[in-house]
Amino acid sequence: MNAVSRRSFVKAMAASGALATAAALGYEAWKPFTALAADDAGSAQTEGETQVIRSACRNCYGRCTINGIVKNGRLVRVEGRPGTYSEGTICSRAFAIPQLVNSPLRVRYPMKRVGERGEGKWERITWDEAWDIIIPKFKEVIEQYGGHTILANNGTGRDQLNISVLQKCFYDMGSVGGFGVGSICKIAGDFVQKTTIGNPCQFTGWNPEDTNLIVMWARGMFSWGYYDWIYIKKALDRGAKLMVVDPRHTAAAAKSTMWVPIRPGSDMALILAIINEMISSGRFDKDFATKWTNSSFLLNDETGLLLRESDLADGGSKDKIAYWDEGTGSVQFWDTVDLAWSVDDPKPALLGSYDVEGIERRTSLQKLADAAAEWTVEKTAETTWLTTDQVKDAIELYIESSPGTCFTRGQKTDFSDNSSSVSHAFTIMMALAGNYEIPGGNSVKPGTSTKGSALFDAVPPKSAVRQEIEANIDDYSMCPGKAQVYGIRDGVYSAATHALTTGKPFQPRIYWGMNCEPIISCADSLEVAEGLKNIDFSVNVNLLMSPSAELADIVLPAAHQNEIDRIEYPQSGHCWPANHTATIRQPFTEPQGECRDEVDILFDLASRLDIDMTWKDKYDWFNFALKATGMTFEEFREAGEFVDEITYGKHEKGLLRKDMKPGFETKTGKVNIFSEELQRFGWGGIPGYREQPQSPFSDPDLAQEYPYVMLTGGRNHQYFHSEYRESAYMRSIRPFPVVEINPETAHENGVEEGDWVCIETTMGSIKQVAHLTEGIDARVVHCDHDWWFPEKGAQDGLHGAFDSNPNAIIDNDKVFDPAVGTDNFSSMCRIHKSPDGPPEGIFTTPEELSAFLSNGQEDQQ
Amino acid sequence: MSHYCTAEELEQLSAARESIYAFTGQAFSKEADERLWQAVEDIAAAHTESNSDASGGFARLARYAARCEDAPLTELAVDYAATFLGIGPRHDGAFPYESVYTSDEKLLKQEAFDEMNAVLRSKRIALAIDMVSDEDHVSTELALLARYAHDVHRLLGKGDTDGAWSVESERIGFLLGHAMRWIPDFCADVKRCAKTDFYRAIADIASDFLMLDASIVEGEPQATPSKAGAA
Repeated sequence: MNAVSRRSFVKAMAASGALATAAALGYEAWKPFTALAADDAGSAQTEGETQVIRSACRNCYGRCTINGIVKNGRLVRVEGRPGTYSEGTICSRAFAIPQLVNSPLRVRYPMKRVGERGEGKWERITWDEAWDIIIPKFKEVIEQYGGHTILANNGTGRDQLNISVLQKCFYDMGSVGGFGVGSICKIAGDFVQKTTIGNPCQFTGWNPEDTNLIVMWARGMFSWGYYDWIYIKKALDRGAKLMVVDPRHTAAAAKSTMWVPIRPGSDMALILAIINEMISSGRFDKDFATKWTNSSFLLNDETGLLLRESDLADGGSKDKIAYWDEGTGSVQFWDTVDLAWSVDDPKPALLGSYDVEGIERRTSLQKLADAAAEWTVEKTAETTWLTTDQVKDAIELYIESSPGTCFTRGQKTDFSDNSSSVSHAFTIMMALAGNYEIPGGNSVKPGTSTKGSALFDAVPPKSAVRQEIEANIDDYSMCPGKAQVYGIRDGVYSAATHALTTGKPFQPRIYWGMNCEPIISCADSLEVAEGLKNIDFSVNVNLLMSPSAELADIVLPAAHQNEIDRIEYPQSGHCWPANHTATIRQPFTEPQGECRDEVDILFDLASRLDIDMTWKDKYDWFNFALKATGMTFEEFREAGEFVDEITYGKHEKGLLRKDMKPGFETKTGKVNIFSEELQRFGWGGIPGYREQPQSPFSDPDLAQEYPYVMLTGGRNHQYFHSEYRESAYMRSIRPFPVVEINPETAHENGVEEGDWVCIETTMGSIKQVAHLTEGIDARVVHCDHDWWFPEKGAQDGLHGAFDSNPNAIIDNDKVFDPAVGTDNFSSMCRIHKSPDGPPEGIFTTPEELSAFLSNGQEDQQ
Repeated sequence: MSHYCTAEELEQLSAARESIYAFTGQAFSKEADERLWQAVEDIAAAHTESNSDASGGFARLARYAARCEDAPLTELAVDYAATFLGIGPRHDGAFPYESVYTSDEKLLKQEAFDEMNAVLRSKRIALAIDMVSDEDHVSTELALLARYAHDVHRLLGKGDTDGAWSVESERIGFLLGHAMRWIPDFCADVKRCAKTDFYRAIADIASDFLMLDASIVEGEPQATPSKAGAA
């Protein structure tokens, strides 16, 4: 031994000498390994073997089919899978799946908070310990305050099955909702479509095959589910046209035949202008309007509803709706139970008003025509900030291309004080143009024979508590008498937020958050955070620690979506054939640590609270859901996909209604031009324009101080709402939140490309990085939404939750559609260059940005 | 054949290695419990009596133990979660996996994970450490170093010097090929991120001993586990 080694030897002996008293910690006592049996299969398990596992991506709504390349039981990479609707295309989010699956930042064990809320102090506990804390607390609250004081939130609609299970479990314990995804996302519009045409089809029903025109309204085509472009491109090559209605010059707008840069929030004006021109020029599908809509139904101005036989004669039926029959020259009836006209050869009058027992009664379509008449080209142009030529061209392109136009929109038009009416107007625009259930139009009921997502919460039994609440909902609701059309009770986050902070109409006691980040994704983030700090007890099920998870009492580890089994359904925006395909999502690898499928967690929670979930577990349910396909789940796993062929004219064939009668699954059996539900619960039975509460038109005084419309919510390739800010890969591509500003506006405010900019509203100020573009009106700025900074600590503003997120400076009281309770994601604002650069403490250099996963010393590795 | 030390010295060294690696491996494997804390108090008392190595990890551990009237298990659990599990006030930490330190993207379950699985399979053993699920976890690697040392010590006790040196050769291969590749950097991160002197002390002890070990065996031939066969 040389001299150096000798000195080291002596030191080593000295060091180990300190352990002489610690025999209990010796190797033999520890037993860190067990011997493999000679025939142990694990010893040879998959060594060197590469598996290709078919699955689907769930990082956006596109559900691109993917292959996981798994070597030695670990996920190596993800590839697109050709031969399906997505044709092998994937984006950065799918490529990044291995990063998130294998991220050391993942929550991998149940955690219990041991410090103050937001202090960031946690300790690991076992699942049993977690349940031992959770279940008694649930039982105590249910007994002491009632189950309606429990809020539950599944923050993303991408896993419909998860939402269904959550609803079943929590509704049956008496919960009336929480920060629902519905008021953030498209579900509010879905419910309007259910009442007006029977099924949501404005996002997903479109079919570019054989179309004349594709209308994309406020939808970022190249940000989610890229494969749509394959089908659009084929249509464009065939001669079809693409019209993009969007305040921003998006990638879709760049590929369009016509870009219609509409003022944010003024969409209704253009829809009504199209409807006005169709009706006034007679260029609409009169046959469809007569047979399949309630255009001809007469109105009762006294009741504000449709005119019924019971309104006209004692003993008359409430189920029979009056119309004027031009064949007989008399009032006749449509029976909404039998779905039959009262005469053999009906000739319903579409327009006009008719003397019925001495009172003039307008048809529903006439009422719409009268209301829409004011939307001339000139007025529409003034309201929408479009030129008269742009308005004319948009109207003409739509009408000339119909029937044979398909339509898809994004969620942005739902974030409005008039959300329900806009959804209704889109339905009418498509119906009068004859664009439903035809080649090149929209399927009213896109989907497959699998029924899982629709069934779970609909199938009995319902608990006694739930039945009591449903029978007396206003006694338990957080917003009684409002949002009645919305099927998820009180899934309105401003109502939940106010209940938490004011205790009115009652004080919520428990919050269960799953797949969600309400502090980041809901307006007035500070109030949401204050509310969640005040709640008695809170559980958060999550992949990663996030601002709202930091306020929980217990955090449970969720499995990654590619560590679990699911049937994936088409939804939210994607065209044929994706919208008729169910596909398998199955695990690439076992869940990390002690992570569990959220659905399994909910079944466990239900079991521990004695809630009858109908099916014994998710596979029992999956098998039931797949019955119509003739496959079990394991057979479906083997098959990979199930595709239903498109059937056109389903309304004529009895394929849209449960009773298999021709017609639509609405209360009238027809497409409702006049909606009684919206008349009762919304702003009116026919669509009408409402200026948004904060706009240069509605509040010119405010506009003096805050002159710009702050638009938010535009999609990009890297993030999905609040997700992926911890990803070094995504942050290397889009490191900062970006505010799009017209160069003229930037110049007026002393802002240059790349500057950190303060965006200020009456609620406060945030910072984003300026990107100057002619692709946005000089009176509008667009802010990236849902930003937070995982590199900042929990104690530092809940990971910078209020530094750059526009929701921190948006008022949650400004917008509330009475029918569906939508919320607000826009405001008036002003801008100026940040005097002190970026928010304090965020990573700004490449070296820092590479540090998300380790020590920031990559160059020293 | 000439080796870096005599068989007698190897026997002493192996005993030291076994105890140090087993202790640090257990300290990193999960949150401290009563059993570990009792041992730490014993170690601290022995260290204080011997009053040696005042600047090293054991001294730091002794000072920490001296400040605690009761077992600070909650404080240590919070520090463990924040430092090693990525849960806590900072979103950086010392992630105790070789894959994180040796992969470009600093992820779990990368090439090092495969390699460690292969090492354990070649030795016909399986991981059985409570709360440790990954084969490239720092505790797995420290446990394997302890196991090698234990086997060397056992073989020398049986008079099988050649067999002992064969295992030692393999141990050196593993020490230099895996443990030294990342554990010193990991320990540096622990010292940077941990809030308590307890984990800084454990990191000091592990890191300092690994460096000593590597310096002692410098120049000695090494073998890979698969080539050397099962010990």
